[in-house]
Amino acid sequence: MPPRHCALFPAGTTGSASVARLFDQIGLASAALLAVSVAGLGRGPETARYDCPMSREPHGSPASAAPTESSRSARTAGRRFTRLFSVTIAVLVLLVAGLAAANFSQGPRLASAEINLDASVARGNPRLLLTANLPLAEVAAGQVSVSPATEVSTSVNDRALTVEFAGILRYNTVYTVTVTDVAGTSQSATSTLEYKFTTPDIDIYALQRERRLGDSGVKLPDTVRRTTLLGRGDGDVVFSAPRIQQYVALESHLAAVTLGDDDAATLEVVSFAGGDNVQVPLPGAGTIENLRASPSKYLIAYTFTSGPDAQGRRHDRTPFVYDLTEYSGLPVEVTGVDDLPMAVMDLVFVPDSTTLVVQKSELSMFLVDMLGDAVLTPLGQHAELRDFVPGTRALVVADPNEGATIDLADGSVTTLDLAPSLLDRSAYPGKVVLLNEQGRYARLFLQETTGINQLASLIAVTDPDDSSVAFAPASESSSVRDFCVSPNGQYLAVETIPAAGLADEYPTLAAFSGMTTTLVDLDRGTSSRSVSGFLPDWCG
Amino acid sequence: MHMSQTTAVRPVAARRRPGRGLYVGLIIIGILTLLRAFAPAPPADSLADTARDFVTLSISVVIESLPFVFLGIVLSIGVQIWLPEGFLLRRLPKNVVARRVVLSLLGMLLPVCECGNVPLARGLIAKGLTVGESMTFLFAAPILNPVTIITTQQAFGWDGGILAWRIAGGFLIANLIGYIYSRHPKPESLLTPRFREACALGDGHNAADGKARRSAALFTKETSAMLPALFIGAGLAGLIQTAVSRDVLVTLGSNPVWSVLALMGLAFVVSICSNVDAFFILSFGATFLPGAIVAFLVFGPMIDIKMLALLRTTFTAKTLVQLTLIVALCSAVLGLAINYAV
Repeated sequence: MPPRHCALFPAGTTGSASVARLFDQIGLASAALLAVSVAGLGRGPETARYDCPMSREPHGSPASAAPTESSRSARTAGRRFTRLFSVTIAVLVLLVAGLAAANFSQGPRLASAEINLDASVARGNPRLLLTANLPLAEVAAGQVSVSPATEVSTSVNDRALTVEFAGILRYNTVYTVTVTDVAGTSQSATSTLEYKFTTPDIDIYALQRERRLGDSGVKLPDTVRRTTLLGRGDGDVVFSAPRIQQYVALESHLAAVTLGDDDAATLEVVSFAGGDNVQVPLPGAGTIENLRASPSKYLIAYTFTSGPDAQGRRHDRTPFVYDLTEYSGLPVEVTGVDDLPMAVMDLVFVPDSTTLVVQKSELSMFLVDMLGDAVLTPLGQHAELRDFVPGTRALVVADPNEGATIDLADGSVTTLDLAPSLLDRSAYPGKVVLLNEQGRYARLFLQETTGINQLASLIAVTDPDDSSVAFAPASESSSVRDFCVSPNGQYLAVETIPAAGLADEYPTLAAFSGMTTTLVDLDRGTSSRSVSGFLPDWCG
Repeated sequence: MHMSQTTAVRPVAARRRPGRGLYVGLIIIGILTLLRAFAPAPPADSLADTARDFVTLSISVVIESLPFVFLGIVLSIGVQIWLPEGFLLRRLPKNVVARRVVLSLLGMLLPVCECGNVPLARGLIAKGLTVGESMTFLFAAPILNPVTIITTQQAFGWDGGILAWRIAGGFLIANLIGYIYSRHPKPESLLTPRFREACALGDGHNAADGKARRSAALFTKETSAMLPALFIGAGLAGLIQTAVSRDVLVTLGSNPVWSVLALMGLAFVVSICSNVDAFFILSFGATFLPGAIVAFLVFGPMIDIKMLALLRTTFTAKTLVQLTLIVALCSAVLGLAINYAV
């Protein structure tokens, strides 16, 4: 059997000299073949080969044929390859040079942007993270502009430019952040980074108490309805019961206090995703007050007072906290020093936290973290526990002579020095809501009017430079029951009692028929929307 | 006369024991293993930090590459000896463009990294693949193979198009090289004389020999050609990595142009296999720009120190310089274009 070998190497060729000679011959012939194929095919498809690669020798044609023509063709083919290779390299070099120049002359570009939109309208000082494609040089505050005008601060870390907004952003608003003359750390070319985002709408809940009777002669159930700022009408019913005293809305649940015929309270939790209502175990028959929620932490708090016929331990405004995520499904009593039970006057969650501010009956106040070490942190003694300044952890408290804010971040107390309102001298002052830490506030006034036999309700908004009436009921005979500020400080929610409203005589949080809640845009000074009912979740 | 020369040479080759080198190697490994087993443990500080780094880095390249080199050799033996004559090549399309495309995707069936592709490509050349076609396979297969694609996807996901750019870049560059070298008038001149000679002599054994015997002989031959190259390449990679501060590379990473060149330089130096290079470079992802990452992932599998050492067993130095130039420029174009546009 003959030895196996590559098809292009003639059998018996051995030794490097022979191979070299053979290669020369093959090379000439193959070059000729290549030249012919290139010329003949006009850059058409090359000839596929199934034998060894070096083979360019046409099978059956002697390698020595027409040596002069072959060498000429080989030289031509060689030149063609050299030209092809050179052109390829030249084109690639030009591309590299062009792209390098283009890259050098290009400033940083925006690679991505990130902002928690839900948090931007719920918590203070939201941050927009702009990530560039290159590490950035320092950016001064003057390089950043925001529309609508918003105060911001900036910081740069490698490719990330963080824009921190002062306060909370407005609902349903298109924000445009423009950063000019942004340079990278590695090159001087500058560019402008621009990013637009739209803040989300917000759910609005309201409680509608019914006095009307149904076809069967039974009172129609009370309902909690949900709509949005941009929505129309009163929205959808998310909870209904024969008698609803109050409710709080969480991110995915709603907790409501319902009343039986004997006015005994029941605490129910309903999931927006559907499913059966969960009844929170209570110590017995009694009443529930001060229902509060920490929506993002799935916590609700309330005080419980035993009814007159209760057996065993009697509760007197005993605070409880119920964790919706707790497996046991049992509420936890909040106890005072040495785990002693206590009676509280009011309580409120620190925004977006598990910490509760409790005001005891003797007016002493303290903080307690319900998921932490349960250590009580005293906050002093104050006559009134109000709410937090929107977007901050500054707690507003009031005493007979003055008000103050307690910054829970550092414990500092700042006495409120509020500018006089335009209605101070002409009306009776009522409830005050602090709108920001710079001293802007809204106050309810009751003003004597001619023509009707009652006081007219007015809400004035005052800051150190200005004071104006932000809300007056459409009819002077209507009155304001209560008002509160939206979590971002953009709107006031004002509960209005119509002149013909009839008291519903609920034992706690009594209200009137036909109540409406009006949303007042504090920046624009306009009433943007009204919904039927009262007790908007912002006031919960 | 040719015949008589052949018969004069063949018996010499036949008299050589094909597996002798293998046996000797195994005996040496056995002796070294015994020495290591019974020798006292060296003191922990017997080597300076730099020397220790050099040894660690070099050995890591060898350890990482060795399985794929052997896998490539085994596949090469399979192609050359065990597959029927022309089994693979007959199935390739006749049209050269389609043929190169198919060869680009051959790595999907023969998933070895670039280290293993060299012996495999040598086997394919010996079976009749043209030099240009072998280059297309050689440069495409390390990227266009399932292991590399999966690891790249795992490292970078679908975001940023890193995987897509890598696949597209590898495919285009490999086909461009295949096209260019298909136009070479003397493709045999691209090969080293030694490999030409090896090809000319076939597997060096009479076809009457058993396939197992011929496989052993071919394994010995390929191993003796590949392993020294691998060791030299790994040693060089380790040496340069210990000599060049990585901080220098990272400093350059923030510039859209220098970052591309820096990571190509890093790819050349670290000589990491294409199957794992995505996870290696992932740690640089926050520092370097996407174009630089893609340039690393495209350039590295085609050209690096270890690969050049392995390729030198087959191609002339001039050819390797040309190939390096084309691959480097193409990778740079790709990286710079991505940095500019993305």
